[in-house]
Amino acid sequence: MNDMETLREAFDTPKPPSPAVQSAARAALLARAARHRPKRRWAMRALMVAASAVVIATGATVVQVVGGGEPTLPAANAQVVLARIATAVQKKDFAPPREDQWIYTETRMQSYGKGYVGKRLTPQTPLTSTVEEFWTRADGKRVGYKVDGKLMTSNPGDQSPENNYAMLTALPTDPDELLARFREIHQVNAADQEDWIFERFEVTLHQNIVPPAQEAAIFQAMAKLPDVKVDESAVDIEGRPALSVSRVIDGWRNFEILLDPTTYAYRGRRETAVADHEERYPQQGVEMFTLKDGTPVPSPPRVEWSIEKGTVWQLFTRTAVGVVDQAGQQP
Amino acid sequence: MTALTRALPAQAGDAVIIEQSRREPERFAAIFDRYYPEIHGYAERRLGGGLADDVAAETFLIAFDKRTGYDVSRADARPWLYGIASNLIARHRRAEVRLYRALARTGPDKPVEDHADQVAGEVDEGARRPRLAQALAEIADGDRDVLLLVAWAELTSEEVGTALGIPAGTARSRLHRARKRIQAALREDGS
Repeated sequence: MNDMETLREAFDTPKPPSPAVQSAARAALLARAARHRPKRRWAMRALMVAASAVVIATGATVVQVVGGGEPTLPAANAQVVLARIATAVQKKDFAPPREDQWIYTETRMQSYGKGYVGKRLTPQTPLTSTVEEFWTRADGKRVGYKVDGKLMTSNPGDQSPENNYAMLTALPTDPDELLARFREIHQVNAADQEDWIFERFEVTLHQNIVPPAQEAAIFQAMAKLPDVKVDESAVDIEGRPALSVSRVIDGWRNFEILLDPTTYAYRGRRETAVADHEERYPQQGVEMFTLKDGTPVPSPPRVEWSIEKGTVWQLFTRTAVGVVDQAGQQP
Repeated sequence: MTALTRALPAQAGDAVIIEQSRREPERFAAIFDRYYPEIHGYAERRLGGGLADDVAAETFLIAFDKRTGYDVSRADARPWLYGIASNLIARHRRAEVRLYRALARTGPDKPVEDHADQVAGEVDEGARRPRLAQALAEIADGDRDVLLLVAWAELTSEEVGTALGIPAGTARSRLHRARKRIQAALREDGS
């Protein structure tokens, strides 16, 4: 018996997973799958309008930069603005939900839902629009969503504070402790960690209702993340004046959190390519081999899809948010 | 190796299912049903029961989120799933090493809680286990990932390279280093 076989056999074959654990894991997967189910498309006319609106918005941003109206804001200014937002949201009116109440969100998403593999995305590529309603019970133990117009609820299994109100209220309200907690929860590759945490802060503001103390801590924590920028004269997805807090993610796309410019309430998110980008498979540093006459020969990486600088990658607008007594209700 | 796995008809369905799941997300449940017990077992060997439940569930949620990036020319989804699971297991290095240390202290007659089903007649293997467990606790993290994907998940070094996002040559040299340590532990054992 060689060493590998010995290593295999010296340790007992693991017991099969318990049926309860397995079905909980399966339910969590199906809950997530249901959230991603493509909804019926808008009428083609609506689609065209949405796509051209995107082109115009991108154009406007370019003009602004070329016109030299707003140079890139220094980090110090971002810190001042984020501190001002934190102070303001700390004083917002807030009625905490009861444990048995549900948090409702409705989001309109515009993206290249499917079929973009192998394509080059440009500002002319049409975006597909979907609207999604979602309910999360405040104790975090049930979620609700619609499948073909019918309400489904399930146990979401393990969650993190971003979309679980009970866990969110337990987060530290000191920005350094909050960052430490998020780093602990989201241990991704060191190089990606700041990007990822910024994204998770967005998800928290987007999918949850956030108590004033935690919301203030999120904005204070953002001021401590490197390369976070603030633009007070941004325009949101509908073309209204907005405040944008942003960070360049993965080296190619600007990830903007769009806020109401006076109340600082969350409105949406916009991701725009700031450089030409090719999504390669496998990623850099990975080799792929195929067998030729029994010998492995390296095969070159290929481009999955690519995107042109200035193209919108995806847009989210939160069209409604509130607390209701039952899943399926709207505020 | 890619071409070899492609030739196996039993695994031809993974890529097709994953591709379908881009349009019909619920189809991804078929990947879960096919590989959950195996991924869970792998995580359980490395981390013990409770953490294995979390890691196995999370593996499929992450895989689902990343399904559009799946290379559909790879018929077998196992290396991809094991890669995701390995990254999650890496968050629990200390727990993993604690488990091996516990096994190293436990002789063949005193199985620890999670391994209570030890079969009589495996005394020989059982006698080797403490030394092997001690070696596993001492091997460098990156080397252990490769070693156990080969020994326990039964992947090839090429598949391990794809799974962990490292060149196949690096996987092979890590495997070589880890095996030397394992062989040394078996020699101490007199076998």
